[in-house]
Amino acid sequence: MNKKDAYSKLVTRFKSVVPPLENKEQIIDYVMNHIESKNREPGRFIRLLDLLFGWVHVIWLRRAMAVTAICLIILFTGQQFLLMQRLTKLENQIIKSVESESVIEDGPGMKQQVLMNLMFERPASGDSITLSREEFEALLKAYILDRPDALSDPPYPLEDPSLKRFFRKNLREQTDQDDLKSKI
Amino acid sequence: MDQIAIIEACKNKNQAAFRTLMEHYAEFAYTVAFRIVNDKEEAKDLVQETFITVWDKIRGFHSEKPFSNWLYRIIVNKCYDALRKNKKNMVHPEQSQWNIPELLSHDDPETIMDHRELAYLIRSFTRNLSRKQKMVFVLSDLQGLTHDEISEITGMLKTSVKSNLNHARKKIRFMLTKYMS
Repeated sequence: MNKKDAYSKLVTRFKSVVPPLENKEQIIDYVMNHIESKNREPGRFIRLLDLLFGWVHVIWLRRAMAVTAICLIILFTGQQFLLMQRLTKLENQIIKSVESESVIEDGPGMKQQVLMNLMFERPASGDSITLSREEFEALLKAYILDRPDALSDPPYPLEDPSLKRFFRKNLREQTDQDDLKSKI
Repeated sequence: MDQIAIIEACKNKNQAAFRTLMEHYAEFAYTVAFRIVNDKEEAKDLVQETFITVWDKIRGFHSEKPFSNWLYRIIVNKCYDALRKNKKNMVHPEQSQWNIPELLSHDDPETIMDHRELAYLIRSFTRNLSRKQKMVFVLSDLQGLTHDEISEITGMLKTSVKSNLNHARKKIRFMLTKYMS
């Protein structure tokens, strides 16, 4: 007997090895009983559970929910990413603005530095700046009177010595330039 | 009542129709299950589980497709899980007690071995097969299904079916040579 014959004979033997199904009716009855017990009227708790979570058995609804959840997660992640980008951009703008000012020596507060940079570094850019009423009045007074010392007059709101020095320096330079112009 | 009408009635949760369907397919399901798990009692349990699943999921069955293929898929999945669970507990009897050449040359193998012994023999021959290989071997060589049908039932690619079947045949031939010598 060659190998091929032996294999096909073995397969034939295997095919014949199926014992008859005994107690077929018993198996069918078991399944029917199981089905009937499933179909019986459910209790209150089961009904409540069905009411709350029954939708999970509806395939299309379950899939729709899953898709919605994925979309929301993507939207949230995208939004977070955009927010992070904007924050980083704003942070970089402030840092750039602060770092470009090399005149300040004693390191005044961030707000004052930004204010000064906007005011003196880019006077022609047309950007608007916001000054407090007191600051503006003091600045006007010093400029109109052509007296940098007026910045020290009470009530002077800029108490930071470095800021004072900075304003004075700029006003003096402005005055010198005006004098020069008038002489010419 | 033809088969499509019975299935449609089962979809509408008609229990009498489902009983008819079970009576018609119980032996078929048992044969497939027994050939895969090689154990009478376990095959019976699998038949019960299979029909309970059929009842639960019959609404999802498309009547234009063959019911037997859909039933095959459920049985095969159940058997696959059963094989995975029982892998460690499977008993492999001593093979030296079998006279394989006599078994193959005899016209009626049941005069030499009873069903239980023959089932052990099959289990022993297929012990080195992976679960997938065993499934493909049973469906192809014992149930006579085509590669396309097996691919549809098991969800495997056709190339994978062919490759698993070749490996299964090779391993069984090797075992056969070993036992015959």
